[in-house]
Amino acid sequence: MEKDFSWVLHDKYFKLTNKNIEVILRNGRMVRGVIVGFFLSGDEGSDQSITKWHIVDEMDAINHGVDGLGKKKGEVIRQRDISEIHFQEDDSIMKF
Amino acid sequence: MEKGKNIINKKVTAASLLVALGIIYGDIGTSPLYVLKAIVGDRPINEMLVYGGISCVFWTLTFQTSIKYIYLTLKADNRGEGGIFSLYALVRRYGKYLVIPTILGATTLLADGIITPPISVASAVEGLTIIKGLEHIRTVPIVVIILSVLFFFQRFGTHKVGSTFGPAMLVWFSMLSILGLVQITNHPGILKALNPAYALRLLTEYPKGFWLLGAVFLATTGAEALYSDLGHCGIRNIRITWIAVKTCLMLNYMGQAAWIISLGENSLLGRRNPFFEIMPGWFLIPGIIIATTATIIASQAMISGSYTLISEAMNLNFWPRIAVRQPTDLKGQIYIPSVNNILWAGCILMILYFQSSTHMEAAYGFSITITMLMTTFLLTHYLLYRLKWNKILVFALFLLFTTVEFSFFIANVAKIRERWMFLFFELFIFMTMYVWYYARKTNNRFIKFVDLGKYAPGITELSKDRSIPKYSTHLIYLTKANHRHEVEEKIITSIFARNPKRADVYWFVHLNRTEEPHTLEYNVTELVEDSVIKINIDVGFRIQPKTELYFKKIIQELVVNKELNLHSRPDGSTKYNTDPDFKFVVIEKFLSVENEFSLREGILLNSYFLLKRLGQSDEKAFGLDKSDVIVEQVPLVYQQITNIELKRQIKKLIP
Repeated sequence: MEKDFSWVLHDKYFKLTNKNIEVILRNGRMVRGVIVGFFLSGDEGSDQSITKWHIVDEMDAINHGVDGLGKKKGEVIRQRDISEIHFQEDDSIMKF
Repeated sequence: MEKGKNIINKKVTAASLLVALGIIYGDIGTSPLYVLKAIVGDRPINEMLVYGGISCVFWTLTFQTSIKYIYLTLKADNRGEGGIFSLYALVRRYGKYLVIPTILGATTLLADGIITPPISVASAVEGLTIIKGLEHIRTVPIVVIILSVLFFFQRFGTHKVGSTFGPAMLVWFSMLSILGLVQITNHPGILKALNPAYALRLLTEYPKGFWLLGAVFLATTGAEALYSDLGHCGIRNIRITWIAVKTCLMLNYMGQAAWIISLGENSLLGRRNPFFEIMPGWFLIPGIIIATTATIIASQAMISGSYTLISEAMNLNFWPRIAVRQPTDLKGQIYIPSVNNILWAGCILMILYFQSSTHMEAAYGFSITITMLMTTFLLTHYLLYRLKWNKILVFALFLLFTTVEFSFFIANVAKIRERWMFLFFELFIFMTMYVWYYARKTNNRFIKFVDLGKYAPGITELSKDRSIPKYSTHLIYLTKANHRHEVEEKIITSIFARNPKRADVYWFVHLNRTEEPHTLEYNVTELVEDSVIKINIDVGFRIQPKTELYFKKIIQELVVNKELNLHSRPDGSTKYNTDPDFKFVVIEKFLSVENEFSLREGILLNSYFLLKRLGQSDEKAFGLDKSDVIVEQVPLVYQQITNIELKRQIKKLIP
């Protein structure tokens, strides 16, 4: 079985105190902010993996990144589109 | 409990062998009632046909039943349990595509199950027509009455009569072998038929001989049941009893063949059933009674097997949640009213439509060939990835069984003509499983999870905020989040949005369906001591969840262990009633009008929500008492309509 790197990112991220990150996508674009939620693959049980991350600006992180009309702020990025992540807290980089 | 069960399974005693005989051999054991009659049919009798037929039956039982099921497939036990869903649970991590063969296998197993009771009971009851004076008796009403009574009594369970099944089947198999032996002694030459050369000649030289495989296959239709019932009897009991059962079956088949040969070259069987013809005249009535009893036991096994199959399908998320009852305290015995009604209606329609077992023989077996092919496919994955057998050996076995089963499949294809109405039933079952599985997956993909730890301080603050009226002492949310520190976003919204729900303790309960059949364990994580608690309960896929019961038991254990204080909080509401109250919040989703779907997604999701409405409510499915449950409706937005051109009308003011 291949190692699921989405859970590696999950486990590292949710232990951070400073949750600010910079995400470099495979198309070269950079997204800055904090993760307020994530979406799983449809499988149930042990086969689940994280497929998408909801990233918002730190200022928008209240109310899990959703505005008063239920619209998502920030953006939802796919795990497979992530090239690397820079963690502000320890200045480390996770490459995918 | 699990350990105890396995010990029972490993023990081989006279009683356990008798139980195995009564539970698992009903289907395969009653095949002699119609197999040889179907093989010979209206063809002129000759050695090539009769010897070849017996040879085919023997080698089919050897390849399909002894080698594939008794030796190989029984190895794939999931903590003692068998059946296509247990096998799927063992191998599903090795390929997402394995869902389709599993659905197909389960569908076809259920579909042909509908014909097993009418064909078996009809074959036995039709024996009455060879009794003098009863030649013109109408057997259809008798079959209808027997089947209706059988289905009616399902709601009371089988605990009172179950103990008689083993001895009854022992009488049946003894009868088979004695009747067969008598005929073999009159024509011992029939033993030559065990030579595979006769089978080969029949298939290659007899006119349209290959198509006779459709009738030969009827001898092994019950093989899949051996695997499905693994959990009831245990591998050693099945393997030991199979030696005796196969011997009895072959003695009877050969006895029937010996009698057919004695009719003389080129004579015709006509409407005679060799099974009853080999009985002495004085034994006909007791023989028919024994045969009818055996077919009722076979039907009972099929009915119970169908309940188990649907129950497993529900627990593995292949089937909408429907009411499941436990008619007795016997572990594992279940009764599903809706399945019972569908099966009863199906069986009655079968007998009314086909009228006789001969007509049913022409329709029976096609689906089971598909089930067997699918089991072979899944089994290959098990041998390859779980048992790590040599790839070449596994491939050779796959090729061997696929060739045999595909041949049976082709030979059975002709039966589609006779069983066209089954296609609708099969399509219904397949589509239900397909829609439920894939729509649920789609549904799951849109559930957003958030870090519970981040919201824990806010929840604690809310819990202590006396300016907000208390909603409940204990507020319990059911969550799909596997990990300890996460919950769905909609749960956080439910707590804080609109009127915030203040409670003393917030519980987040996750039921995790395990790949093992009988697991029942839990773990507790306190995110905030005594106020925000996450519970994960692992529930095996053979267990019907009773969340409220589990939850209250966990609470009791926590209180006894002094890990939780139920009554310490000073609050106005406890002045008149010191008992803590529990409120479960179930969040039900519905399709929002704001969605924009592709055709496939639209059909899939609309069908899913329709099935959900027809099925059992979430609170019932989770085993919650209605009085303790608050149901909240949440709209589900998958893909929001984006291209709306909404123009504002500027009204000119009239001066």
